[in-house]
Amino acid sequence: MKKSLVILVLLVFAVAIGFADPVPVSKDRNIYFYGKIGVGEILFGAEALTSSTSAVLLLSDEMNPNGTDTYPSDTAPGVKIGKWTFDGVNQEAASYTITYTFGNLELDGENPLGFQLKEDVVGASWLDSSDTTTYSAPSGNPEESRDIYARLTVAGREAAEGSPAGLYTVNIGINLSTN
Amino acid sequence: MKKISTLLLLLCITVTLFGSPYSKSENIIFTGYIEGDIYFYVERLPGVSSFNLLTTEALLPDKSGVDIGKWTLRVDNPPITSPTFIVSYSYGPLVDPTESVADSIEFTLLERKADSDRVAQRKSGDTVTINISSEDTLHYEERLFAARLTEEGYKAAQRAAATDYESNITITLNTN
Repeated sequence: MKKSLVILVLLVFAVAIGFADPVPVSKDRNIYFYGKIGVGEILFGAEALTSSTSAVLLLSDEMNPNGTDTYPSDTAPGVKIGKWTFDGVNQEAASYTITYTFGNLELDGENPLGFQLKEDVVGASWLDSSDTTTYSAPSGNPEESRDIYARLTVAGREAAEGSPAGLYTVNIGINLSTN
Repeated sequence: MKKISTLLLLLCITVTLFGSPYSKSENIIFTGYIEGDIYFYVERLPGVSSFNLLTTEALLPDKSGVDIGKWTLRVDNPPITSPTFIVSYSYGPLVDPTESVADSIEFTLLERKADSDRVAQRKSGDTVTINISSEDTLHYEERLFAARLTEEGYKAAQRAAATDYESNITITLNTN
């Protein structure tokens, strides 16, 4: 009798549980969605504006570092001789150093004429060989272009006045590198 | 045992190289030219500006003057005929450019070669003759010129009004 009663109670419990409302379960699980944009290309180029058919007149007022009545007090602007361009794609912000390397203007390897360069940016200074400038590229797709001007040095001007006529040339190296 | 699987989804556009240094060099050729034929140039010396006419000792009538400029003559491939050039000076006294003051202060120019102490006075209207040989080569002449007050100019300066004074000096090159 007792055994039957226990079994009956257990059966009642089992049926009750089976028909009871389910207890809500709440659990958080996480997954990460990863995305990535890789650094894109950098295009750095330089081009000259002068050639043997469009050379700069070296004894012009613009090229005279001593200043003239046209450009008093050593403000001769120089002459534009080229430019460099920077074109980046998907870049992080970065700081770059631009280094200029050059010798003297020469006529067939002789009669050296010293000169200086300057970038066409606010506050720029005249540069000697191995001098550097900087460019702070923002993130994203930065673009920058800078015209380059040339002017004789005082010694170069004096030398030019006593140098023979002809075409004078020099190779200017422009290096862009991260700091 | 429950199996838990984790989904990992990677989306890449390009392979990255974060942190790698960048360096690239370019070259441009700069070409300039010096003209042949005849080149005559007059310019102020570097750093020359206004001089105090009362306190600058070198301006005194018996002193060496203050260097103010130079002229340069270069002749490439000179003409076979007439290789003689005449350089002439023309200038007036120092005056007030605004014409508010009537005072004028006389001065004179002193010309010399850069590597010489030999000085020649050049009054307005004076000329210099430069003889160039007809040899087919580059011929180069350069002269520095200084300014100093004359006796009359020094006296005039002592009683002149306080203002800025100037004189326009014209140096002309002619062939003979």
